[in-house]
Amino acid sequence: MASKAGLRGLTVTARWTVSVTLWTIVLAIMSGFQLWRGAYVDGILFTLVTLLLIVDTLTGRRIKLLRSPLVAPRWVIAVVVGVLGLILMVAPRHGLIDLVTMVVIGVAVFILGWAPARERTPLPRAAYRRSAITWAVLGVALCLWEALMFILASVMPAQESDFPTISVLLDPFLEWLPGKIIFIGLWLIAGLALLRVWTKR
Amino acid sequence: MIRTIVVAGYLLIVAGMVVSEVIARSRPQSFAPVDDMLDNIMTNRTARIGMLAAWWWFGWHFIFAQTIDPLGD
Repeated sequence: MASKAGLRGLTVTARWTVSVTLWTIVLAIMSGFQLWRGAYVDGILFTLVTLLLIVDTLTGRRIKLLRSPLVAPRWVIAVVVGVLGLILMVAPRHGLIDLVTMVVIGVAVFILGWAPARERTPLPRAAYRRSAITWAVLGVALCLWEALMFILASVMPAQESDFPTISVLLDPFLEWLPGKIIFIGLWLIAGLALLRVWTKR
Repeated sequence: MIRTIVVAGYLLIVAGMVVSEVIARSRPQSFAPVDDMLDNIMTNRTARIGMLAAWWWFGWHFIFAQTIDPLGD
């Protein structure tokens, strides 16, 4: 099944390509893993996102959250992200303020990320394919290693410290204030990079 | 000993990522750097939302959610 439509210079491709299928499977696995490990909120959120993307693909990318892409000056973006980062840095970890801020960031990023992105092809397709396969293999390896440690720590609780997950290794760093500030700063910069706010518009 | 092997496993994968990016920067025409690769795959909505969801969840998990059981059980 394939359909393609132009939209004011933006190309919207809606079909079950290998990429779409694999990403949908990854999101479904993520949903299942979160539910299996007892993180029900995480699992339900991933399930809803996965179902929405499936419906969007089946309906030819017809779901629109905004009539036109949001455009904001860079200084506005920098100020908003700076304020959100400051709140996360100052607020106690796992608290209500963190919860509200993370929900605000999640909703905003979801709406901004839903808008179509421009096509870019400055490099040969083979270069993209090699890079995507390499990073997919490394990413899957990291997820499998992490999942294996989680399972081993669960089935052998007496040897839990022998099988640390990334969460166990990073948690002491995040309990240290400078570590928390570094983590939040890098996380927000990564989010801005993924949204392409500095290059897309 | 086992813990060292586990941590070495994580570091090996991270080293693989760093080496991949160094190689990509030296010959981008045959191996796309990670930012170009992301630019390319994120033209697709499913991939873009998947990447953003993973990024957001990483922050959610470490900043808000209880990453480890404080009671240790």
